[in-house]
Amino acid sequence: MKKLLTLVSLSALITSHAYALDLGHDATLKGFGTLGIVNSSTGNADFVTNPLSQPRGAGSTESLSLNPESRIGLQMDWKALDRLSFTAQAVSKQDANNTYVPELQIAFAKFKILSDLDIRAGRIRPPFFMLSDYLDMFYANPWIRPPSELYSLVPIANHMEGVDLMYRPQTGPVSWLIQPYYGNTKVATVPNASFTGNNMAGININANYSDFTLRGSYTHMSMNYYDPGFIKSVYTPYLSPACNNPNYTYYGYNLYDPALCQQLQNLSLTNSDFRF
Amino acid sequence: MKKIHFILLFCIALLLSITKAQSEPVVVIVSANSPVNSLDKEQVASLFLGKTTNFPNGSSAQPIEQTDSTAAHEEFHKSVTEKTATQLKSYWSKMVFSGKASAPQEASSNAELLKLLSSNPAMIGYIDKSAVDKSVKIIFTP
Repeated sequence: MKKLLTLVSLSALITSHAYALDLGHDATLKGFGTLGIVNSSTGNADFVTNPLSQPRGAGSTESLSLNPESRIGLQMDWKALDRLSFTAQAVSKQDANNTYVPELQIAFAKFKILSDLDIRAGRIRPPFFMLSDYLDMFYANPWIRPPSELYSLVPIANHMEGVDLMYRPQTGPVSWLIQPYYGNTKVATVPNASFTGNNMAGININANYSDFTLRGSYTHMSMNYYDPGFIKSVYTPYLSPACNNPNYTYYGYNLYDPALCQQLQNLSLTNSDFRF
Repeated sequence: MKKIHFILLFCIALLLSITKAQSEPVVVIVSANSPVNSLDKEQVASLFLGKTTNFPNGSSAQPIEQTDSTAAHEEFHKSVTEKTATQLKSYWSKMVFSGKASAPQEASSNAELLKLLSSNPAMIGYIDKSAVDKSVKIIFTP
């Protein structure tokens, strides 16, 4: 009998927490975590929260999965001087290689230039979208998970090496956050590919009145996607004849490109275990 | 009959919650030496939520919290920042774990709060009205 309707159910069980511990000497250790179990009844595909950074999810791999949502983070803050502090945060969650090796998401030094102006330098989470800089903090969100349609769009949202300014002036009842930033990043994605964002420059402006926030943001960067597997499987059949014969044409186009040929040659030498 | 019992229980619960809400009033205070004489609710809320770090006159401000188990903490946040303890914790989690700001320093008792404030005119706190002494002045009453 033909199935007229396939019912796909997706359910999730989430618990999120955050804790802090005073270590003395103006240092604190804080942590947060989410244990999330996702069930998907479809066998055809995996449900993941970010298709570029999560190789396994709930569905075809396993019907119940901890992978899409579970994560744990530890943060250490140290106020070295009145104006100078250091912050480091490591987060363990499923990564592009399907492991849970903790990754440093934040590692910066913050200096208070004026009472309402801070500068941060080091590894920072760039504030592309409203929740970008606390995306792993499910505890602080009203939803089970941040809207993945938007937040998986920019694969390099995790962190950047760079610098930002946080200026917080007050005009009457409106408090502002004006945050220009600049940095570079490289992020591994599935499968064995990577995104690089170079010369990212942007600004995040928040106007805050009572519980209302109006936000504007602009980012400019040069983004490159490097996927050796894709190059090998798609380009090699067309490009290798051109590399062997500089006069080779494909539908009238000469495809000979010495730089690309060199790159392809390098790839075939290191093909099997390509890691970033 | 059962229905009436439920209604009665509900009324008692409501009454209890009303009596609890009528706890001692809290006042917002700074050192008696501070040049700041009065603030409005929005200004106090902005300082205690880390949205601004200056008094309106431009001088630096440092909010001091009471521990979250105190009645003063509940009363202050209910009427000034309009956040419950859970909302407040979620708010500071996002500020702290994004590296944007650190949560305010906490005073463990009224005595410690008064001691801190009297020695530092940049500090601002809140306290039960009956605990106010001459070392501090009231700049806002919710």
